[in-house]
Amino acid sequence: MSGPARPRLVFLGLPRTGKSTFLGAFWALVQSPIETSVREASFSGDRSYVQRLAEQVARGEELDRTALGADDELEVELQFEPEGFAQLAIPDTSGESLRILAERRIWYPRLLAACSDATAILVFIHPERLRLPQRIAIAAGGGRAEPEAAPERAAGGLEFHPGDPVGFQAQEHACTAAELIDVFENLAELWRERRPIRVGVVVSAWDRVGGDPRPTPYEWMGAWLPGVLATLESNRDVADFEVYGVSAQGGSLAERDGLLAKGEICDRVFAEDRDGRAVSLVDPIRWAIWGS
Amino acid sequence: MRAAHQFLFGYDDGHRLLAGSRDLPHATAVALLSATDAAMANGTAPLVTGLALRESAEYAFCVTWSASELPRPGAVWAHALVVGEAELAEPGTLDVLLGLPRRPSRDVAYLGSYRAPIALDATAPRLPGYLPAGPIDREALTRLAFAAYDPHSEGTIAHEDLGGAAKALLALWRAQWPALRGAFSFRTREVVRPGTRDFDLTVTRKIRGQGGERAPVTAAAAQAWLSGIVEDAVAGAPTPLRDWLSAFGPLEAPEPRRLAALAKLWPLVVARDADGARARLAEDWPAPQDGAALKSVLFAPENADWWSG
Repeated sequence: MSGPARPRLVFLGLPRTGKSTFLGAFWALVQSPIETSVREASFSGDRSYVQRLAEQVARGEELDRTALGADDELEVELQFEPEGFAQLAIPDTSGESLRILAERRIWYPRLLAACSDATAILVFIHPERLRLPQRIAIAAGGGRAEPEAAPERAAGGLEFHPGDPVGFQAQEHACTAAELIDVFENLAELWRERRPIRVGVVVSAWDRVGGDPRPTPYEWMGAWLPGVLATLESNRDVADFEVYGVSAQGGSLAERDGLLAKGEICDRVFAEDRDGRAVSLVDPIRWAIWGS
Repeated sequence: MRAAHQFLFGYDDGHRLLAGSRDLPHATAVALLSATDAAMANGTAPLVTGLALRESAEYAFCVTWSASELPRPGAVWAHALVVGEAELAEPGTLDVLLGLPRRPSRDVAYLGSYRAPIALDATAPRLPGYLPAGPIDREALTRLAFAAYDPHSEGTIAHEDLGGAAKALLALWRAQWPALRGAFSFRTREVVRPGTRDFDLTVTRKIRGQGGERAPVTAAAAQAWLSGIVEDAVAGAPTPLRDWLSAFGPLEAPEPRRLAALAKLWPLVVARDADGARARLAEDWPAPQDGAALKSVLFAPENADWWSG
């Protein structure tokens, strides 16, 4: 009899794309008696970190951001029905570490270690936080006016201040699609010896995506991130690809009372597969471990 | 004019460099992003970080504050000061440096004042604003010194009062000889994973997977060599041990365990215990050429009367 699978998943995404929220909701489902397709098979180890995430999701709170130097990790043995046991490890990587890779072309050590060991990647995208291509304008006068308000974006584009002692870095303002394609190319290089690997795209806050009819997750990618979709579709030898839409809170945190009125986490979260069919929130992780 | 370059980090769709007095190489910028970002609960004492920037032969001293006024939970502010080795060498300049970190004000997050270097010729504050008032906690200092310098220490200890620990840690750092000070990386943090060795000394409220239990202070306090280090660190003026370390420390590798070796030898010299000093030299400077200047000074024929006197 073979032992349990030993998948190592990595959640990748720029800041505030829902990585920790998804992990917290997933853990809440693992512990819920209503979700019968997955359960905890071993109770050893420190669960305080992921338990805190699950509790914050249950209370409808915005989760604390993951600090760049954080080294939290979910490491647990789970039993999936009907696939079997998996000794699952998911390091919680900060969005900033991915940004460093995309913008500065440097692998942050913890991210590099996580991706080097990964058996699958889930890439998180928030539909309301896509960065689209912007115009760059050179500000008149060179230097910045004082006083200047804290971080703000110039209306309709970015201002480039030649007199600023910290030089303007165009790559810090690249659009989301360009960053994700660049990250994929870095990952492809990293996995050169063990292709293909599974890459799942998780479009978070799926409850915010509108339209009549609402697009499927695959259609949404085709509409908003066509370059990313084309890259993944044309590199099947590098990565098996899947896409999901998930709502790991089940609604907007701005309407917290209404959100909590929907009931427990398992009552309010939902997910859709690439074709828009309702699936369990567990399914992206199930696919990442076992494939289709 | 001696000056420190400054860099303000904070939340702007992620933890970012918001303003600075000069450009940073990518690797240094990433190192500072990491060093200035940390998980902080509301009410946590400001976190201190010292980071040796070996590639540029510089040093970064950083303080990180919780930014609870910002809408994103877990956001922090951090002010990093970067200086060269010369700025770290002078105690007066060092004291000015330690007083420079300042948290952006709540409603006037102007960045302009963070875009120029800061002169280090000002008067040092009596107490930097990010440190608690009151005397240095000697028990904490003893445990920190043991964790930092003992060759068998893992360099990480749990301590509940991070503000008090920061104060003790900076006193310990300040008492090192300049080359060691410039190579010694340290930090205070809310929580760390065991086995992390990126810093010479980490003080944390919780070591993940452990109950935050503290090493028995008696184990550290029982070691005589530590008491001299503690007394020196809390003293207002240099002590004979500081003079000893200043004289012979620069001849050693800038490593924490070398300070321990010198500190263990010092009580034997004071006690005029020649046999004990020889044994200590044989243990910590075993090869004939190791510590040649030290051995020469201690046991040159012209100094023989020291041991008999």
